[in-house]
Amino acid sequence: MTDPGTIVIVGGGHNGLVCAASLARAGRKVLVLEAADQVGGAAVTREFSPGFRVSSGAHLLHALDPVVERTLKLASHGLAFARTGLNTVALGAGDPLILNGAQVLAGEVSATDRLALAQYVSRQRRYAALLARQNGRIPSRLGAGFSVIRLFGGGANNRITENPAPMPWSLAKFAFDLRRLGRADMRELLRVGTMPLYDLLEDRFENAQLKGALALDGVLGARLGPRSGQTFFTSLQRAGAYGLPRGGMGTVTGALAIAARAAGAEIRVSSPVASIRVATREDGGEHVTGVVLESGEEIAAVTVVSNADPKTTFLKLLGARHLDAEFVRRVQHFRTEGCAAKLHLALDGVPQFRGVPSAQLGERVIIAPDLGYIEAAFNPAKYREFSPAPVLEITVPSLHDPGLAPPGKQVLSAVVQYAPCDLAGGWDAGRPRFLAATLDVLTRYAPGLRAQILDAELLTPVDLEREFRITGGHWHHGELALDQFMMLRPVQGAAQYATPLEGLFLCGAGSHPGGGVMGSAGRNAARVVLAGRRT
Amino acid sequence: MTIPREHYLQAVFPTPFHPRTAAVNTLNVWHRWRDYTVADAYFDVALEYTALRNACTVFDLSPMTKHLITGPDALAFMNRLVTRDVAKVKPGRVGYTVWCDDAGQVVDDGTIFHLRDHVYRLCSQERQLDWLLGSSHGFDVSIVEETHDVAALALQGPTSCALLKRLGLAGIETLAPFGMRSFAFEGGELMVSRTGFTGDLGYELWIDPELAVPLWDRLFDVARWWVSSRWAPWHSR
Repeated sequence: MTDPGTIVIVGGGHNGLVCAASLARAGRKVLVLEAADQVGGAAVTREFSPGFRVSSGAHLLHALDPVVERTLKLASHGLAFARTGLNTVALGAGDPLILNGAQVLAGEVSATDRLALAQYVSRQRRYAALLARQNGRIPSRLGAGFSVIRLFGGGANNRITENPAPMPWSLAKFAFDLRRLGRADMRELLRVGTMPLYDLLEDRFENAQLKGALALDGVLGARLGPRSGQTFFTSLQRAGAYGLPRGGMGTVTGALAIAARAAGAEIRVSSPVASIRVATREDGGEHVTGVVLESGEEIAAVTVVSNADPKTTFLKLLGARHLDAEFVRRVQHFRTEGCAAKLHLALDGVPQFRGVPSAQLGERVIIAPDLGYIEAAFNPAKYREFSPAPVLEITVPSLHDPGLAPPGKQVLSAVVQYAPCDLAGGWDAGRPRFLAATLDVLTRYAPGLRAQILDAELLTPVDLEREFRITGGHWHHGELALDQFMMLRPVQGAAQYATPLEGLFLCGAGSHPGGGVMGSAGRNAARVVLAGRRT
Repeated sequence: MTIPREHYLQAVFPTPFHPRTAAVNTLNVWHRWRDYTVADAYFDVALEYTALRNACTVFDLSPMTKHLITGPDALAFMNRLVTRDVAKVKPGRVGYTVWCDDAGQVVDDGTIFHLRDHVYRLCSQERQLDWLLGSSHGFDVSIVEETHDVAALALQGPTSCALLKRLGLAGIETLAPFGMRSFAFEGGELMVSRTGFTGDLGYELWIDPELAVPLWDRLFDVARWWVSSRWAPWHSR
């Protein structure tokens, strides 16, 4: 019998674990219920072929919240890196271009482009830092407390569904941060913030490969092409340095689990939650009373924090009938269509990409040779078809971390786009065809690769959805775009981690500031729970 | 339902009672109510109102929006939709209610007809199909708009019960306010509910559009001794 004062966390992904550790450190009793047989959610390492292990979801660490890393002492709980600061090796028609931030390490790049790159990267970093400052803040609620409309006497349409928690001032802080950028940077951000990368990069750069490499950052994981609006904004989410945790991404979540357990949290794996239990008070209001596992076991709790994506949480685990109609409609309209697939290859040797020095083969190798190629790869996705010539982000983690593969063998892990989750005709028929198309592109750049393949696994968005229980297989639980950002994430009415249902909170990537293995959402959610809406 | 390709050629239709209402509309004044034209008045508003308050009148309310809600979760859905406890509206009863948006502001008001177990008819001023469907996520219900499939005639006024008795609706005098009852009518079914918006004695008659004109004719046959008393409320509010 569980103490009903226990806080139940549905899902042991990185955010659920961060939330669990934060709550346990604050002295709360915490029980994490993970559906899979290991914790980690989409930040896990698993064997996909005998002897070959790979980060089966996210494969590069570039945005881990430094506060999480520090306060949960992840280094002392086992987080170590096989490599940090990976270069980007952009393949193309000619010699590969090798970049690291603003530096061009190899490739024929004009002095003009080098200067433009330095300016572009430095500005992008300032903007990314501005966004990163918002990560640890609880988004403001529009229409409650601080509101321009109210300043002018409006706001009579007072939403009774707003929860009465104190007003977070993060919007004002964000405005202040914007102002502090200085006039030139702020003006430029207002101009380019919603721009398509295509136009921005065409304005500034000559080198096609360089433009392709920079554009990839704006479209990876998103259902967007370089010509789509706000791709400059989406590119800011990938402005960090790329690292490979030793042992794969499972090491990150493994360390988080150790930190959570050390703080006193209990973690149960293979315990999928079937539903969130609700009771009605005398005044007609509803509140959470616990969860029911798929096994039928009931666990009482007055506080449930869901690491599951918003659609799963609200529509499957809770049920729309416990929520208001307009709120449900907003949840239904939250865009969750994943468009990225994951390729894992067990290789009988180091893959040889044409023109890439052997020392660079373990870097972040990308196939996005120019803007037109990426946009052309995106076009079919608009019509529920996959790219015949996809875009790839490739890593060979075993080059830095030999434990991932048997001696002499290698593991290749790649994000492959575009693979719309709602593929016309379905993925059962599409999977082998998309795998063939992907291998065709790969062998164009690594002619000997096909002969090295011992085993291959392609996880389409529907496979990712099944494996990680994420609606649409979207690695951010929902498109991370301006209309699903900050106080709009996932939807108005649940953007401050509390939900319209008393006792139910969100802590996953569907909440601010999104996925990408940051852990900020879990940390923020824990703060909201501790701030104590009456539970 | 298949929509005929020429659907755009006519957007507004005569009601099932139109052959009769047109014949007595001496003013030839019409206005549009949703998908239909209805009479503003027939010959004299003041006389028509006097008839309504002293005898009885008919009012063609066929254009009123009607939705049929069926399925195992029909009651649960209705309770999620509206502000009153629909469980208390037993089969054969009608309930007046409102429904609200998330902010608690009224979307519309209307009447719930609990036709039989798991079957409700919701009548409303505005078209509500979008709101109803949007509210139905997670409920095992079927929601269809049936405005065009049901003709409706209000019979309101102090002598309305007497007239229906003359029509042969046995026991109609025992029908309580917000009650409803079905009667056989010319091979079909005439559903009578003791509802209406005059605040006076009155009924609403619900019938297959095919039987609308026969119903009108029978009513006026038995009411031949009446002072001409057709009523349209538009100028009497």
